[in-house]
Amino acid sequence: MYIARALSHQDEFFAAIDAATNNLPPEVVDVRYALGTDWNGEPAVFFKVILKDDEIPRADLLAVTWKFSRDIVQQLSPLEEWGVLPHFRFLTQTEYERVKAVEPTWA
Amino acid sequence: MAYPDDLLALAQEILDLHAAEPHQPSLRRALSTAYHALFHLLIEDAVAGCQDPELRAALSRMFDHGRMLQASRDQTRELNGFLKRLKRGKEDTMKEHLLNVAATFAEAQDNRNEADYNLSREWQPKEVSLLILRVEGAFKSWSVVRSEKKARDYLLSMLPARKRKQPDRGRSSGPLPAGDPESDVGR
Repeated sequence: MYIARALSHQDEFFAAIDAATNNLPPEVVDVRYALGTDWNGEPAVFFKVILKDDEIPRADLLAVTWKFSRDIVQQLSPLEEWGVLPHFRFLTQTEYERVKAVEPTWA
Repeated sequence: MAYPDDLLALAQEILDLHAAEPHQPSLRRALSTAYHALFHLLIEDAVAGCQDPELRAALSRMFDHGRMLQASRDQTRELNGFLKRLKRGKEDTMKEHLLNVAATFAEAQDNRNEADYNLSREWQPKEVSLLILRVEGAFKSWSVVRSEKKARDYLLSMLPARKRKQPDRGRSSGPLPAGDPESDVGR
């Protein structure tokens, strides 16, 4: 049975994530992450990226979030090096507080 | 306006119905509609060269969500690897655009499944707005790369493998010999 390296070496994987997210851009408040399986049953790492409220103009939102997720993927190589598919969820602080209240796994 | 563009516009309209509140049915429908916009954009382009409407419709039905997801993930992995190896300061705009399409397709499909079937997840308006923006971005990227060979290969890779025949450079262009295992392609 295949076990993704991220699962069998969780401490190393989490340390690599911490290193990759050490210097957050000013518009990002926090990055949370968890291992699990995605909709198709594939091992996955779920990033929850919390953005400052109204910090990013709508015109820049796409570019900023795309660059952020690209940089993490390039540094970490989650699929190639660790065997997990990366999934990103971007929320503003206000939205995060709302979600945290109704999705207990976020607390 | 073409059907995929209509769907994408509809996704935004649905989102705007309750812009200020996390109205779950609207957010879920908006995500699902945005995914289907991209799904149909790629299929429509893949079969656009076929002039016969019945054949075009039959070809369109050969595409399925699972195979398209796998093709998109494969493409994303390959392009991420290539772009990572690219020397600092160098860019490959075509591959960046294609990566945007493939990565967005995989993400949009996952979001669509979550939106349609995982009712424990709470979607938020700005979150969904960003995901629709991602699909809009993929539409723009596709318009840039759609004629490139790499993009056409990506579409081909979405078809079921048994139905495809890759050109064999080492063989003459004549018909395949009887008994060749590839000769039943298309049956």
